[in-house]
Amino acid sequence: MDQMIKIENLTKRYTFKILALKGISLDLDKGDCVGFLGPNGAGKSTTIKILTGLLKPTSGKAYIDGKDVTKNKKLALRSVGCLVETPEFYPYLTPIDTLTYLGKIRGVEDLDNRIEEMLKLVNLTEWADTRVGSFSKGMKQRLGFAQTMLHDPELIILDEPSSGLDPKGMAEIRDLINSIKREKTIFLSSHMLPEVQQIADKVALINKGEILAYDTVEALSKKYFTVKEVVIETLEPLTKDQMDQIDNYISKNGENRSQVKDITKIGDKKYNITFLGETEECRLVLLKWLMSQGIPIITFNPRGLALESIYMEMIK
Amino acid sequence: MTIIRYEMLKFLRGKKLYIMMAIIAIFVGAVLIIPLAVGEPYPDTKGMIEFFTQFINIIVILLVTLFGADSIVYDFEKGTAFVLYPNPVRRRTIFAGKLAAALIISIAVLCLYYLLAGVIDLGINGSVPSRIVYSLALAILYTICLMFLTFLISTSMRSTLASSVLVFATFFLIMPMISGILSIVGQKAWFLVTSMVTVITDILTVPFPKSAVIDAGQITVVDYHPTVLTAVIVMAVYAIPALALAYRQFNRKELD
Repeated sequence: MDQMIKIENLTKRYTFKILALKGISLDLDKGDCVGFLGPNGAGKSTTIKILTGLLKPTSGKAYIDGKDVTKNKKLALRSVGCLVETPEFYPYLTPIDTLTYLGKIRGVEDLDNRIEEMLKLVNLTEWADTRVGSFSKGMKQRLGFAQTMLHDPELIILDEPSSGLDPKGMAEIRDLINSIKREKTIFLSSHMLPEVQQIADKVALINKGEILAYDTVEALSKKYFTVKEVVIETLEPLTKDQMDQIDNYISKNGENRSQVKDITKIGDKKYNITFLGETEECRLVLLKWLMSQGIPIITFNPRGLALESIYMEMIK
Repeated sequence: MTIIRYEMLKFLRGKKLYIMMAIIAIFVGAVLIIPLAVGEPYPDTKGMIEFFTQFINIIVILLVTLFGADSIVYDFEKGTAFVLYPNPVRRRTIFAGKLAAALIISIAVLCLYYLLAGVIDLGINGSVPSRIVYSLALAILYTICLMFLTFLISTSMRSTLASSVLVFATFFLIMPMISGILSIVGQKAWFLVTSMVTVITDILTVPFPKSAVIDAGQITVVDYHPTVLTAVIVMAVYAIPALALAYRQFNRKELD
């Protein structure tokens, strides 16, 4: 099969009351870069832990490259690199020791050169002989990424890879992932929308143990989702009549039909407009209409990301 | 082998080994200095080794506490399991590697202690009793038994501190307390593994000491000396199920 990951009716019950996964199914083809998106407690980490053999499912199956993870973990994880939760390493080991340890477990060939390459990739060469116990969170995350890539795996599973990092650290991890995504299959879980939208080609949305949607961002926008937002700045504060007028806006312009749901003042001359519209052109139609009504617009900016809107609506 | 090697590295780079060495040095120092300080002659060759073997119980308890109690639970508490366990390595390999490393370091320290005892005895008395080898063998067996029990505790706990405290308390306080009470009420604590430690010293004596009832005024106290066969059987009865349960527990442990 060409599927790198196949999840079939996966269920995980922790206790009588806690049902973390409710029979989810998900397939990833080889070469996909899929974001697994959901709020805290949605079931993302549980799914990843089952895929990486850290948890056993209550029922259902999980396959990696055709191998059942629960029955043959050793074979299934042979070509998987994963970073689960915030990585913690043995504090008495250096990065070289750590990567040597893990590399030997995996039987990596030409290990010394490979370690040097990985440390260079994650900018830890300078710290190669320093014990990990003195590392910051960001440095451990980078070392975690190095151990994920050490054996040149076909599938990379990342659980909240930017967790706990500052913006610079997040950007570094994002760049690292983008640099490898063309050659690998990547399954990346996150609750951070910008991270997923900038990296993933497809997104699976999960909430309360159920998959809500799974498709490309564009397809999700068209198929499920019509809510858009813009932020406008005006030369003068809008009057009540003007705000009522905008609030009552409905356009029946063919496929660009749209309707304003809400207008909210967010600054002295700044307003957030939420409207329903199936196409991206709806924004242009709205802009043209606002100008035709004499609204003194200085700026007109789409707010947030399409994925954010989809996500927020679906997890309501 | 890789897991054993890196577990050993943990012990060699950590403080626990140095703590253990310092304790050994204190015991050895006490054996050498205290008789001199009180103006008493050193015991004969057999007596000198018996002097050293009096401390075996506490040494073994410290060894299993320091090197075994957090072996399994550490990975789950600190999160290093998230890096080590999702690798193509069977859990039994990880378990065996950690157990082997804990046993290797413990037995190595034990052998060093016996070596020191032998060298000192040779230096002071000019000879070493041949039965010291049997004593060492029984001490190793006792260490293995206690280590298996320690691993059972380590796989059952969620905190390294709780595991260490429970291991130490079980072997140093709880079991000895029960055997002490039993001896006062005229009973032999034949079923407690810590009661078997006396064979490590008793094996040096020919003929092998027998249990006795001592009249201590209003109470009688049982001075229990299990035979070597009894000790081996009791240790086996504790060790084998402990190992099986520890492995089963470890295999089922989840990283939630």
